Amino acid sequence: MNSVLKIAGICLLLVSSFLSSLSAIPSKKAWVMHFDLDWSVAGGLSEKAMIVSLQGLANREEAQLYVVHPADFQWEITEPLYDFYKRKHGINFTEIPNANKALKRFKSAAKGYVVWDKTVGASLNVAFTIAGLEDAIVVSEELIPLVRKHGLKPIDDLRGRYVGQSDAEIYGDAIERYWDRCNRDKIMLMGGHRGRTMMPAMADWGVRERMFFHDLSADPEEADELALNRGLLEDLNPSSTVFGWHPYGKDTEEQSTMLLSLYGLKMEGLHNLPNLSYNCQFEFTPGFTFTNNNHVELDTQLVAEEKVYLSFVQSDSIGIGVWTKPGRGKLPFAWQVTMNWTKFSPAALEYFHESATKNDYFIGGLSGPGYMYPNNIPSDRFPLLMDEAKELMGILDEHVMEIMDNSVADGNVGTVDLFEKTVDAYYKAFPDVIGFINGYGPGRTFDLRDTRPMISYDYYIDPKRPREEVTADLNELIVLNRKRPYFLLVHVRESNDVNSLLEIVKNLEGPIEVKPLDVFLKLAASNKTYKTRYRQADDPVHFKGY
Amino acid sequence: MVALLLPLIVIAAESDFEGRWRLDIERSSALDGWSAMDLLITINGSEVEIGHDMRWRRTTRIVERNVVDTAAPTQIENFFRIEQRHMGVYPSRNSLAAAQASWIDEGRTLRTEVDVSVEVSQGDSRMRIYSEYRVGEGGETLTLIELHSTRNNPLVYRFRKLANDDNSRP
Repeated sequence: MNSVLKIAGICLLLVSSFLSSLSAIPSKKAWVMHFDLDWSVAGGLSEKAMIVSLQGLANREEAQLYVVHPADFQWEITEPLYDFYKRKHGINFTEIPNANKALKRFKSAAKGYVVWDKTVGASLNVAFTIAGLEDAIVVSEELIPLVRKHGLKPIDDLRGRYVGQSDAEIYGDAIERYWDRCNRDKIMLMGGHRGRTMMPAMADWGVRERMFFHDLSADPEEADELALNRGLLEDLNPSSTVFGWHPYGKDTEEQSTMLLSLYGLKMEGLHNLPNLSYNCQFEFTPGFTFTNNNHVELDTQLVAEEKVYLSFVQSDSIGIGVWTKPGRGKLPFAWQVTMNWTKFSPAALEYFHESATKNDYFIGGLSGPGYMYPNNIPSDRFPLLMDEAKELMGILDEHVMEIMDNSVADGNVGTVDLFEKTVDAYYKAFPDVIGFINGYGPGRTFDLRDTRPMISYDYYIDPKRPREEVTADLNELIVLNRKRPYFLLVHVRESNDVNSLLEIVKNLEGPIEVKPLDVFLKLAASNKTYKTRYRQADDPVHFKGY
Repeated sequence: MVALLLPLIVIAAESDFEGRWRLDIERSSALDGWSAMDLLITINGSEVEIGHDMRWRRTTRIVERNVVDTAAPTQIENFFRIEQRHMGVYPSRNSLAAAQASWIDEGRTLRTEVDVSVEVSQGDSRMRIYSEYRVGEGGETLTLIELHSTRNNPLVYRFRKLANDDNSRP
């Protein structure tokens, strides 16, 4: 009897395992919508907000709805990735031409609708929170007839509820009503554009995952909002992720990222990153493994000659900017990969990998398994976060960690340096990397321990700076740093293009060589002409912190 | 007679320098890491104070002053350089800048030469900054031409004078 039960049990396990493996494979049939660039509150926002909320619900159980954005949308990869899904995953997409047809196809995913108040921007975030919790779609007043036509029932109506209230009052009320039921591993900081244009393209992901949406300030001068913001962050589980982006005009990226780093949380942006509710349901294609364009082994020893070595890095997340611009592949270039996409968007990482040229080299960052400022990470959280980062870097065959701490910087200028104890922590956490790079704007943190250098950017290429001046700036750095070899690490802001860099390199003076980042670091390990330096107590501080 | 008149002409030309001058961004070398700049010039005998009222976006405003002496070389503490803030070049700690200044071209040009210590990734390095401040005909425009011993391109900043009662900042 026991044997029969055992065999039956094993069969049941096998069948359920087979069924669950079937459900993990995304459907080959999906639908696609094409968005335009109109996200104005008076124009295209209402319909887009409704569709992304519908997308979050439609994609909750399986990957069904994907959105393609125009080529000049900030995330330029939606079209190439759409092609990738068709080509590599065999997805057969059916075009949905308008909101009416989208509702017709996916209305069964929603139990009803919630109405937001177009005169109160924050009400849209409250509506998205309700949408996730109640399986509702988000509509503004003028869309009510349309959703009623499809038989959807009202679930909540925010019109008038928050008129005249501050954002702190609105979110205080929303926390009272909804926070207890929201996801405690993920939260949606749906900030970014505010006012006449809002761009909540990431809302599908927040709705799918039942996140709390807000755009509370991290600025100490907004004390009421900051208190609520801190309360939410304190309530999250350890190592949670803050999705979205800080609210423009309310606080700064530096304040927002510093605040979440103080809680050991990870940032994953931007607020307009689309399609995570779809992308998260795919694995890498069978047999695919990441193989970086490594030029050296971990134990390779190189010897630098008496010349100037340059290396170029783009760190503004690989999905935006230079990748799709002309000239990629003509110069060695390092790309900071958003490592968390291994979990949320593996197809995108596979797409980048397959479209990489031999000159494209991937590195880990920013600062850890998400965007965070390491000078501010609690010391008891740091090793755990870096273990997570190491695991992701292992999957992605990455051997260089990029660090950025702008907590006291002023945008892309000012102090970006690491305290000595932060540098110590990185060296301890990453014994098996080729090296570290640091900064966003230029920095002064330099070190070399055993064979692992830590090099800060000596130059940041502002995309608006005339190329002739960029050339003169680099030539001036070469003159000022007289010792040879000189290791000149350059950060390329996302909206530059590689062709213009070729012209610049051609006009640099002296014995110059542009090297891939891993080679550059190995050379930097061979002859330490840079001065060891960490952040000093009297270095300029723009934001004094909390 | 001409020799007697010359100092008067020089004094008249020098006085044209005094006041607040606003950078004409379109016609100047690109600032980097600064969004706007005013020069504030005050003359007191042989001393010329050159103030820099700098703005970066909407977040940072500073006023930094250098005082040069046209009668004798000086040592300037915390010399302010119109730096390209996207370059890894910083003021050296606790350093003095050796400065020389003179009026030339019959007082229409203030010439300065400053030897500055800067910190770069390899440690401290030196930069000689040669500048000419030229007031245009009519006293309404000022051109600053700056040459670095470390840079082969001159930096040219063009300014327009603000009215005496215009106290706006850049």
